[in-house]
Amino acid sequence: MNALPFLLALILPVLPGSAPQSEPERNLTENGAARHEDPDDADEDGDSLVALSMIGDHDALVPGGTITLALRCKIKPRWHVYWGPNAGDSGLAFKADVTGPEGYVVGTPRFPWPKRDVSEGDIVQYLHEGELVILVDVKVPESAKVGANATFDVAARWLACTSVCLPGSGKTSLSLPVAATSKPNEAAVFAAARARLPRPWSELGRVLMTPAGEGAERKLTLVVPGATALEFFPYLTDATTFTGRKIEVGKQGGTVAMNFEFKKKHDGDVPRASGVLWVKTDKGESSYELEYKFQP
Amino acid sequence: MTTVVTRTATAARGAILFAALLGAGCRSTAVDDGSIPSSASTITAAANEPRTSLRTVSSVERGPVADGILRAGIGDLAPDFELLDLDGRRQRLSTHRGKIVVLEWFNPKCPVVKYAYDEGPLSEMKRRYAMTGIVWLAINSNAPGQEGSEPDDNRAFLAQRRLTTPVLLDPLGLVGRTYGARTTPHVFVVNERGVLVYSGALDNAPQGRVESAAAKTNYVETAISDLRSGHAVTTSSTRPYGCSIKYDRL
Repeated sequence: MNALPFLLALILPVLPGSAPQSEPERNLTENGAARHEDPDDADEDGDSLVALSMIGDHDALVPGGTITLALRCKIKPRWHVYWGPNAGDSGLAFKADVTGPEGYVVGTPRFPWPKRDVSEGDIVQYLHEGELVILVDVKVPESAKVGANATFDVAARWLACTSVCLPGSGKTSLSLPVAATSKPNEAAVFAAARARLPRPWSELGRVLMTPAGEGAERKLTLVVPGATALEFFPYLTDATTFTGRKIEVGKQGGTVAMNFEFKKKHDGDVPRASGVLWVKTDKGESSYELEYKFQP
Repeated sequence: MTTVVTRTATAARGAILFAALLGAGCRSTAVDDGSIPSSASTITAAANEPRTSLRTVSSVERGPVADGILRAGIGDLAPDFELLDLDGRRQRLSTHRGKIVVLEWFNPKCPVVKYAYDEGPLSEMKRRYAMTGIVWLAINSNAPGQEGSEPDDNRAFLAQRRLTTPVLLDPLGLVGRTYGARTTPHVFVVNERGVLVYSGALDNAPQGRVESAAAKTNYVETAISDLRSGHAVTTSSTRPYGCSIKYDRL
């Protein structure tokens, strides 16, 4: 019946105790680093892999004002944690729950752009190494009494990975006085952290945006003049799934062509592209929050 | 009636490895049941034509095979494979035709897997399903030397939990790559007719926590329930979560 022969993938693993299993070139990463499991890593305590502390961008809380809190997460060298909005193809997103006294309005934690990592099997991960600084805005109630103190608590949890993965969690808190005036605090830390947060799309300037596709398959191409490097970090959404991107950079700028798959689950669902576009130019690097709705 | 599988040229190295597998390690064992044609000449052709697209046609009865290059899709026949379990026994997917089969990518050292078995949904699901005729195959695609790849670690995991369900070893990752398995756990459900009907997470509750306002949902349980009631699987694809599979380089 068939002109071509049938193929069978009879895939036999090396039996325990038989032939040697290690070939040096097979166990290297792209950059040549050893990828084998380090027995010491498995003995680490997941909680101690990330050291938490919290600071405010001012030394006091002013009634009716806003303060920004920074959750500083120092990650042990060689380990990484995952981007809060989307861990990628594997891992678990870093979670931070911030709470304050009654009447204080605590905003959503804001994450800096992550690093994109691709491992064997085309497994894409969005991760953080070194120090992760998460910013949270807090609105101080008008009724806050000068002279009192307010305490903010953070409960964080993560999956930290190197050649092995370990779950961890931790807590920290910050107490600040309520005062009529306040002074800036740790300005350099906050300036650096804010510079890595996504900015409004309108600040990106001239961008050529071309949607394509219909139904389930959607594509959005962005041409960014002057870009010397680009990356897109997708947010997770209910109905639209980011399925990949192609990036090209030339003398005139960069192009990122993104593919999405739309599956309507609820009335009102529309296909959309949302995430963070990271742009590097001769002047530096910054990121912008994209929220684009395709035609239904 | 035929199923057409397109093999792209981009995975030429995989084709060569695939050829080496069949030509070297597997030739003597491929026809042990008398029903599996194995053609070294065809494989050689695949290896010699890495720059051109190769179309492989196979019968619906046999379906496509997992070779690390083919990509399994929901609604398609689940690519067949034969792997060794921890006791050296061959486990072949197509021998379970007629039963619902769950393929669970597995790593005994992954904390997300440990949670699923000790506190999460797998603490009782596997035993319950085993009693009702559902086949549950755990597959470990981590490369030798990587976390959780040691057979003894896999045996110890099962022994500690008094589990007897098989763990299949896929050290070259060809089956994992074919199915697009990315995490442990990453679960696939194959219906009685051998069609892949679900791919994704066990549930929507990583480490027991539902992140949104949604109710806790066990996707695998739901898919199996749909199949048993004769309905189409309502949620056929979800986003898996867990440790990344540490594939070997092709």
